[in-house]
Amino acid sequence: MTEAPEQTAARALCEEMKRIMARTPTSRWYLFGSIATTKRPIGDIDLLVVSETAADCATIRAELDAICSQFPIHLLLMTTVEEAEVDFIQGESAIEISRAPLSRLIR
Amino acid sequence: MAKYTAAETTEWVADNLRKAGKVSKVEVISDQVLRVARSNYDPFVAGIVSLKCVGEDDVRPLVTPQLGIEIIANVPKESYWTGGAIRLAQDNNIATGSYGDLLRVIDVEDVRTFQPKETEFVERGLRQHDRILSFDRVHDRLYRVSRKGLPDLTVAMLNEYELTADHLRTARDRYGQFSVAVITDPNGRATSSAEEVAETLGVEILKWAPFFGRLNKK
Repeated sequence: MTEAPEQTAARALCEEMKRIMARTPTSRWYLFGSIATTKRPIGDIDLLVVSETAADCATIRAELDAICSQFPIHLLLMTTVEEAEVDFIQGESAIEISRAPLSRLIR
Repeated sequence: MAKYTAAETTEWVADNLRKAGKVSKVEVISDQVLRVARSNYDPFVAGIVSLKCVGEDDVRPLVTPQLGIEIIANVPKESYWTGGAIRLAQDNNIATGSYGDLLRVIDVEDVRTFQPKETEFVERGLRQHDRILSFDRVHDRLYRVSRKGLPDLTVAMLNEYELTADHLRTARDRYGQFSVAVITDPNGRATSSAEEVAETLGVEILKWAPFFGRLNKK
């Protein structure tokens, strides 16, 4: 059986995440919205990356450019200060993916 | 990472659409064209592009009447359409939108008339404001607004729930100069860092209602 479209996107995203985290090891990556639920087909892939500094945000956006040019990824980049201000992770029940195996990401 | 071809992207979109309710069949007609049969309405034909910036040259091959395309969808969310590309599609009675909009038009009888809700909301608001003489859609989210007795305003309409510093910097990279950033999400707000970045960029961040008041001031 061929891979489902959301799995293709998630697999590519995880590969990119691992590569980019080598450059920004303190960044934390989360999925939220439809891909983090059982709703199918997926709409956008909502991705939150929280990093220490604005410079890290800029690096991550640049490094994600290739995958964001191929899949409908809605990229939300926040510094830790911004995330703490709006409490986005808790409010959106975002699921951390930087420490989870791929099989847990896509249900 | 490996770059998908146009055909692979179109196949990816087709696979997703096949999972959608009310879709009975999805045919890949060519590398950039899909035909979607629906249980509730007549089939529609979609053109698929996958670009960071959709310009007129990208749209031109898809507006050929023989293809019968009713909507052109750009897959990447982190992207934008130039005003010229949108006008070229409109002039050919073709709707434009995102991958997510393709899922939305399954429930739209006349796909050619589809407009994203946010665009409808913004443009209806601008049309109804007494101070506005006319407006020009420079790019998808960038409007130049001509006002009675007041200088033009260049406005970025940002539909973000949480407007971050990165959103503002990205908007400036994409669209160039603008003096006002409007948060069009009714529940949206800007982070303190976004406000700080706005100050350095010389941009005012306003929610929708305050923006309407701002239109009456120099």
